[in-house]
Amino acid sequence: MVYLLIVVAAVILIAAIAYGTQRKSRDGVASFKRQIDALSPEARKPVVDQVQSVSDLRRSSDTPTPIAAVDPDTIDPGTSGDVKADDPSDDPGDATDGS
Amino acid sequence: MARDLAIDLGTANTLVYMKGRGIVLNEPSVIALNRQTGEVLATGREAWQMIGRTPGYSVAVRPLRGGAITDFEITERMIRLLLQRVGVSRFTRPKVVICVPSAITEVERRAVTDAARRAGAADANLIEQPMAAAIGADLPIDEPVGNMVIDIGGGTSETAVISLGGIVALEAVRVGSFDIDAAIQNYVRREHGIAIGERTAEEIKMAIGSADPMPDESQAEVRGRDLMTGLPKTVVLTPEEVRYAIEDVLSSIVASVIRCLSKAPPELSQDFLVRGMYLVGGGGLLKGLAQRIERDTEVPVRMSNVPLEAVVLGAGHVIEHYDALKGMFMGARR
Repeated sequence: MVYLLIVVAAVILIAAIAYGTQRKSRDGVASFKRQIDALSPEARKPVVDQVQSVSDLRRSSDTPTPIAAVDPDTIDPGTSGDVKADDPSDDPGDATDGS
Repeated sequence: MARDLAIDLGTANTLVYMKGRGIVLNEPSVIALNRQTGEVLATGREAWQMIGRTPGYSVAVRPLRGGAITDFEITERMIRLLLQRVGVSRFTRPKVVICVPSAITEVERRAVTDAARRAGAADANLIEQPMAAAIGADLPIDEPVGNMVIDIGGGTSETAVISLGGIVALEAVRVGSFDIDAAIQNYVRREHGIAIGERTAEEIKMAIGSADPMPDESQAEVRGRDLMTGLPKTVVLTPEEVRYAIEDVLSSIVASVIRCLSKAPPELSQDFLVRGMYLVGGGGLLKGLAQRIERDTEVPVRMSNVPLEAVVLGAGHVIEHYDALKGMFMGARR
């Protein structure tokens, strides 16, 4: 009787371990599939739409940036002109140095 | 109930994506403080305008360097203020996904998540910037093909090969566009004997800076403080000089791209020749940089449509599909 109980318990234990292992591997497959599905073009469509709208917004609000750029012929270091002037007190050591 | 957030906590700018709403905040990662009381005077754009122009009692600082937190307390305060601005309160604690450079250490990683939790996040997870950038740049990373992303930020430059939703090869250097600005500052100081501020150096970079000779180049007048006399002085800077000044920084970025290419498995390498590499990040906007990388690597380089927002849009996609993509968080795979 005792032997029978031990055999039954062992069989149950082996079955439980086998089920657990199989489930774990199924979980791995399912979670990888979920991840890949979530990265698919269909799932990413809302992001792509936002990329498009951000990109359109940037194109429409693009303004010339070269604040400090001047034509070589118009350079006159002695005058102020319309080029970017830095605050003379702007010392790189004052706050952050950007590196 | 709080809406979950994705944060691109960059050295230069911080962007916040709110689940279901899109990008709700895009500000420089700068905070201005009163030196005596420690009181916050301004954050974001307002604080950025104060850099190098603050009176003695206050200071405007960037609490992140090279993508890592250099001052934990200030970063925490900055994140708290940013979260408050997008509607997070003590009673609405969202889940937060934060994009960080892949090269950060375990200690730096913990510092970022702790700062976010203390600032009001219910749960904070990290995702590598190149991975988020690849999603945001709309690369087919769900397919078994080689996708290569070069993300040049303010403090770091990262290159990653991505296939089937995972990083295959990665190379990162703690060099970014702030190092380009610093190189310009140093050059002007050394060769012209004038001191210029960080914002002026950035403006020079944007105006006449380039990685390769460009058509229709112009010179720039630069004003600063004469180091000998202490008086304001103007000098003229040429694009050639700027290229010479930033050459070391650019070489180091290009070398890291080449190292990443050499790490990629051959099966994926051949894909790059057809598909090219994608350039994202503010540093990628430097004129001629794409051509320079293309010339040195002999692989086509394409610019993302949204170089500045690609990372946060990618992280936003992760927050929208939180359960399916939580396996992509740093630490989840290890």
